[in-house]
Amino acid sequence: MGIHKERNSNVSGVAGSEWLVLTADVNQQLIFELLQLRVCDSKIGIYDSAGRVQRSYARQDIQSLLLREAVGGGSLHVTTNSQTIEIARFTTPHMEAYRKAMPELEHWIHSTWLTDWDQPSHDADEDKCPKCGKVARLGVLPCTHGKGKYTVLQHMSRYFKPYRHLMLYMAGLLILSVLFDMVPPYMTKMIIDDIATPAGNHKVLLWLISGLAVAQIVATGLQMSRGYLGIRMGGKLTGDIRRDMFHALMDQSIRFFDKRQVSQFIGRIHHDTDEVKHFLTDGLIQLLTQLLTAVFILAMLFHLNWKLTAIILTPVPVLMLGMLWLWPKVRTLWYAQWQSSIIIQNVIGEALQGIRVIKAFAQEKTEKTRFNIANDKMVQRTVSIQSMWLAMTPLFSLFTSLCGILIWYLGGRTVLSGEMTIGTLSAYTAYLMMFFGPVKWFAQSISWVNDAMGASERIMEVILAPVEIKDLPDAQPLKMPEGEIRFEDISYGYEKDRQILHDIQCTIAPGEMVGLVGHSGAGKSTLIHLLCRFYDPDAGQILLDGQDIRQIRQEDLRKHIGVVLQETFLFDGSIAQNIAYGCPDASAEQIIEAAVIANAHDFICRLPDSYDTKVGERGHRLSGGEKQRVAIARAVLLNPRILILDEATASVDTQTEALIQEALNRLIKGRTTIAIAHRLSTLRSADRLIVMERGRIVETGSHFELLQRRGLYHKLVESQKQKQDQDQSVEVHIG
Amino acid sequence: MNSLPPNRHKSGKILLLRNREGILEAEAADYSHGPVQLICTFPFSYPEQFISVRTSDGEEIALLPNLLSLDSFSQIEARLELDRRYMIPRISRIISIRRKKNQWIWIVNTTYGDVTFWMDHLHENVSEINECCFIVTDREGRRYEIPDIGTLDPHSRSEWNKVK
Repeated sequence: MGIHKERNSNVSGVAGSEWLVLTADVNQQLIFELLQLRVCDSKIGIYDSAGRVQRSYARQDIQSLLLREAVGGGSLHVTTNSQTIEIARFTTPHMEAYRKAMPELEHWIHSTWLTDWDQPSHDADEDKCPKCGKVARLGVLPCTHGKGKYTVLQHMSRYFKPYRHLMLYMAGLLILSVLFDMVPPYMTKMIIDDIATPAGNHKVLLWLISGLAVAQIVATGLQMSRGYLGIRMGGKLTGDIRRDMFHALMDQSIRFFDKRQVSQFIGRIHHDTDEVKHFLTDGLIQLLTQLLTAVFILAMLFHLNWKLTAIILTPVPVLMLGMLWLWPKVRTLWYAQWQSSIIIQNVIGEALQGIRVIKAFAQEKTEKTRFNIANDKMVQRTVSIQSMWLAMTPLFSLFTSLCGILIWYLGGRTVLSGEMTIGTLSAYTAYLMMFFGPVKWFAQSISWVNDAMGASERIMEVILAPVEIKDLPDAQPLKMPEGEIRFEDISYGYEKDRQILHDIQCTIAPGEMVGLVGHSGAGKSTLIHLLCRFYDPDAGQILLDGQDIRQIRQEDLRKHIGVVLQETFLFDGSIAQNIAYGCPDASAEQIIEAAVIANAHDFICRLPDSYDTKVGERGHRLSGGEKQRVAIARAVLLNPRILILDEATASVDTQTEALIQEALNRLIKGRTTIAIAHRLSTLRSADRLIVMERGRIVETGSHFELLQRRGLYHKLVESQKQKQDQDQSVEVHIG
Repeated sequence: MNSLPPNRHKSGKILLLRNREGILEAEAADYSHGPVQLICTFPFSYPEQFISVRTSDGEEIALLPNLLSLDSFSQIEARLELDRRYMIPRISRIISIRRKKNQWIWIVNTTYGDVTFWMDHLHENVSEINECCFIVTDREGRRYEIPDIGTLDPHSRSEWNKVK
């Protein structure tokens, strides 16, 4: 699959030596079929899985090759003298391989012989799981192939390691506790058989009764100590898991969150860890207790009467098979139930986040209906799961009662025949009833264990998800950079089948202020995202002072990039805390100084609590312009070498804009600045403007140079002028 | 043909045809727009309605309310073009959805033939377009459409209801 290039040892242009093989997985009838596009020095052809050629074209007949990108895939077309023909069609996973092959194919058509064959090409196999060979989609899904439930358990077991000593104590207590549980029935047997006879000894009776009481007290004490240790360990353990989940989320790249509704993670961190906690604190102890109890009781039952025990155990294999049959069904049911709960969480999260819009558009009823649908589904799932266990308890009680009756009958016969004493029979039935406890628990725990297993898998899904943008092992720290930024042949698309940026080439000098201009969707913000390394380009590289930013530690890189966005996010803390967000050690003087530079000091001082004013969730207690100036102060304090202003003055009135602009002018001094603004007048002072259209740079130059060129920038300026004139004329009319 | 400036046209006035190179072109009245592309504005909700006809520069020259508003020849060309532009197989029958280890394995019949694909997590790879329509994404990023879960056969629905 994908692109494979083999350099033939004889590259002198021998016809027939294939140098490129690409997968085409859809045939001309739009049916899945595994085909191969093979290119050799003299021709290009499409071959079926048996190696038979379906179509082929000689190189000298080909005028051009065209890659058409579609939704969900693409196609490659050959233009010859007479016509254009589709030669290969493929789905999304192969798109990148074709994109990368196109320059080489173009070169191949127009070159006499293929002699400059040095560039190593991307091989789609790089992204494959080394164990299973299946493609791991970085940033989207972890490759969990071969990571079955045992692997999940293996990962979960890592969390037990720090508590192994505690676990040993608990195991000791558990064994003692179970052994003490075995004592009372046996002592009862002794009392019946040895004491409750005409020759019984009162003194021995007193000793036995006292022993019975002590056994009960010790068993209870052991149970309590074990429970305490279990709760302590379980609490710490879930704390560790919750911490790792949150840390894993913080380490994830932006793409991870682009693909998901983030509100689900609030619930997942709580709910899933809670499920695991219940299992670890109660379930695991119960599981071991019941297992040990069952083993000890079974031993006692065999010791008391092995024949009866063998009869009793006859239906056990059937029960085991039933449990095995039930296991996957319960697992799927729990998974479906969990999905329903996630949908509910998402509906609630979205509704609460968008409550102002809901109110403004009077859509409360629609949201209620949406919630009701999700809620009904959840109810349906809950009923399905609980119905499954509805009959379990009464049926099990019936089963144990029938077993009890059978034992009394068979045991009674053995007592009558003198093969067993009444005391033994009494102890036997007591043990048997005790034995049914663990059996019943195991049957009921299928549901519990499955739920906990599912929760563990989902926890591991987050913790083990591969991080798309991570520091290379040899990533370098970044000291104070000069601030030269170079974009070299950058291509990028958020989706594989839709490229946003194409072959971006430009250099920004240290200290230069550059304005990025273009229509919405031209790729300006995407370019900024790549510079901040929120995403890595599909092709090309970004160099900071000549060093590829992928070679720089992300933390260092971002420390030197200050960002002021149109939408400022403030955390629910004081204004001072928000200004000092990037520099937690900043002194009060530094915070005030930053606020003064950002023209924020005066409005802050007007607030009753000044710098200690709580801004509320997302800073809703401040106006747009105020939040913006807090964000500028934040950037000032960070003192970055590179500054990014993404529509920093877009959503404020003219007076506030002047204040912000003044603050920005102070901020950009001596820093490499990239500013995006739709209001072109704000970029007049830029050293250079870069005009983008549909993911490409179409013009660069100063404001006046671009106006003289009368290209796209000129058009944009003219259309804004017209709009301003119209707005003014409307104002005049109203006035 | 006159070189009139491209204006928006009513769908009845648009003709779609292929040139010698097999590229779709549009003609309206006595003006040829040259190569065009068709964009489904609602590829899942209304796959044959509200089709935007755009020049190679991306300028919209018509918004077809329905493919049926075109002449029969143009309809054939439009469908052919859309089939090749939107490579999202439609699932017509779900044979099984089962879980093996941590993988969900789907065996389905689609408009692109029978296919078995797998994914890691259902909850991240099945997205709802509306109450009936769903998009299923396999591990390698291929997307499949279930246009209307209600119209699938009982077995398919039962497989679906087990997991969703």
